[in-house]
Amino acid sequence: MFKKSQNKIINDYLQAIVQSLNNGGSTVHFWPFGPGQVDSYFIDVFSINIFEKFKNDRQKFKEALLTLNPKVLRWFLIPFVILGIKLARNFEGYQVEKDELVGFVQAVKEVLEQMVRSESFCLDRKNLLLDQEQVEEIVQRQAWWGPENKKVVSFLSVDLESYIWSIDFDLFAYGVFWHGPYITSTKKCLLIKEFVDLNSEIWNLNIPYSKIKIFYLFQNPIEVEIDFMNHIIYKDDIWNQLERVAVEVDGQIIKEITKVEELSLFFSEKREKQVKLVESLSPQELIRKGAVVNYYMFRQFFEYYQESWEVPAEVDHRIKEWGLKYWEEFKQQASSKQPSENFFVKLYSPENSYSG
Amino acid sequence: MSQQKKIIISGRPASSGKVVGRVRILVSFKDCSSLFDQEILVTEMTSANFMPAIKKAAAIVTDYGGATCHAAIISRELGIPCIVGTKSATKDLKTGDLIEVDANQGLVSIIKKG
Repeated sequence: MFKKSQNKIINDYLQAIVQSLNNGGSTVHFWPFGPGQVDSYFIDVFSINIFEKFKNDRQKFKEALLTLNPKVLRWFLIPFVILGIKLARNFEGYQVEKDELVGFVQAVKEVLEQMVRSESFCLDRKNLLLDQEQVEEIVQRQAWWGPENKKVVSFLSVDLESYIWSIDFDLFAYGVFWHGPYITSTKKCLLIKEFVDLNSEIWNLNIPYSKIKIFYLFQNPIEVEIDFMNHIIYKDDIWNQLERVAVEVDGQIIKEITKVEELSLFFSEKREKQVKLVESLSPQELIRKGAVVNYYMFRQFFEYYQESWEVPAEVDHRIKEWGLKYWEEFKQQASSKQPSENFFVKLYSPENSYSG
Repeated sequence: MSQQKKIIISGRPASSGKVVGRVRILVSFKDCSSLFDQEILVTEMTSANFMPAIKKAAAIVTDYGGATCHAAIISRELGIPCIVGTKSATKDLKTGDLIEVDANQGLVSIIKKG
């Protein structure tokens, strides 16, 4: 049991992290690199940039955050910036008060509350982004297939997910997320899996698709949960209760199941090539690509400020100066035992100075 | 046919189901093509690279990983049994072993050594 905070928002945020870790959120054995191996080279630079924007103009900061996905705000922004700022405070003398960091979490939560129709940190185990009218509209308009095509769509789903992991890397994988569960007027359960930014600018893959959504309609009730890190959790086999499934590509409903098979093959081939490319990169190149993926994930945020999302020159300088010091140091940790939940609570809490 | 089962490995059930099949140990994703249809994929940990093998596997058993690791997520959607976090499957099993994967209980039994 983690030590509670007196501040409800911070307490909820830490509780959400613990809940996700208990759901199996692993911090070890990632491909092609693990936590710390890459972000050590830029976490403070990135975090100070973000945090200064928050301090300078809280309203503009919140408007800029609205350009991002809730998954990115929850797991890739809040804990990362808190840790980055604590490192900057501990090792570079960056001036920051505890209340400012608490205020940062509060501001992000306020933005999440505008975006999400369920508890903003997923403490109610939901991630509801649509209202009831939108849910009913989806149920009405999709070209739904029956369970006989479940396997074909499942292959597309896992091929897309693996493709996302090959372009965003395991550690980030910001390009796929779940939302729901939505209960329809006919008491069915709707889950939606979205793949975004399939044609990521950073790899020049020339993918002719940008977004794919997969809609799953289940007999209700099914016991399914979505947590802070966007894990989808179910104890029983929900897939045998799947009644209908549908696919939408860049807003176009797919009516022919053969098109789904084509997409599956297409992304499977792209993933294979991408994996070969990633495997051919040197550690220095991987460190830089990791930094690029991280900054690119926030590109709309930077664009709101009319700034470039490109990796700052300081990070390139560090990769050159520091060599593989942190790559090697965290490589050992990345393949060792997962730390305790209390370690993460201390690490990601804005109320202490612990930075690992 | 009555054969003596010997439970030798336990792990975390990640996708339910029970199957019997031959083991194929994959040390690296580069060996994916060596896995035949309906063999049981046994490896340290899967990643995006393992998809060609996962699509053909009857079940997955990994040394590492939790309920939301790559193997767990993919196997649940494909409806194939999966046990993760066994710590030692790649050491305790050999390619060609005939095993039962009981992913309801998180147990692996050897039916016949390969």
